[in-house]
Amino acid sequence: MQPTTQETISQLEKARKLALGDAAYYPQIVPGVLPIIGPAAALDLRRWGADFLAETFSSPAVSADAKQNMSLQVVHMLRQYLETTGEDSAVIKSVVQTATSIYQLVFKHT
Amino acid sequence: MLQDSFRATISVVSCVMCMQTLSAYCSARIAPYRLCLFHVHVLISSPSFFSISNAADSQTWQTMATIKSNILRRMEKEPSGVKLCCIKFIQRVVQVQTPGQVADPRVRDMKYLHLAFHTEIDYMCSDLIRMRSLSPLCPATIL
Repeated sequence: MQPTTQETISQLEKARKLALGDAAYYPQIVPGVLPIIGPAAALDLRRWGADFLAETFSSPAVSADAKQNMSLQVVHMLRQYLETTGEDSAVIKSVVQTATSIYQLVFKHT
Repeated sequence: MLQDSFRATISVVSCVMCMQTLSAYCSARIAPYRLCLFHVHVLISSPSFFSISNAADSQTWQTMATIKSNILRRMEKEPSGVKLCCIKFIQRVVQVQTPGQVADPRVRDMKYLHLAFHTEIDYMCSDLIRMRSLSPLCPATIL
């Protein structure tokens, strides 16, 4: 049986609290979270996911190297979010914030 | 005269080894090697050393460019909250892609370089540093 959106969010919230406690968990948690919060997910999950990504890349506790590696995994998903027509404003807001944080990392990478 | 990118490639491979060897010579106060050490220092301080690490990965940059134009297009029709985030994004783009002191915090530190090196290097080196601080955007002019 598929877990409901609320159940999934409460599990994701636990993972987020773990990462907030120790930033070393972010590189493991972010790739695990990405398939759950994709553009096809429910609105609440997309909002949570976009907020989580914005928070991750703006956190001073995460090292620049870790952020750079994660930015390469996230950049394609950000594009998918932005290209979805009629996407929720709150999601777009967090996605643009994330894009702001990773722009210099991608610029540095390529 | 080597190209900046070629010098950077060489130095990435051998920089640590070079620094170890050169520091041994430097402590023996042999002027030409101290000059060479200074060149390596300028090279690793130059933007070409740090900025481009995966030039062949054009797909990632292409995606980022698509994101950039998508965000720029949103400036006209989105509600003010999203528009504010877009302005912040544009601010970052301008900051990152402006060459010189604004974009590169290491260049700002170059003005203190002569203080750190003053007691260690000879007159020729300090002259080069002065030239470097006068033209921080053109490391190639003194190398």
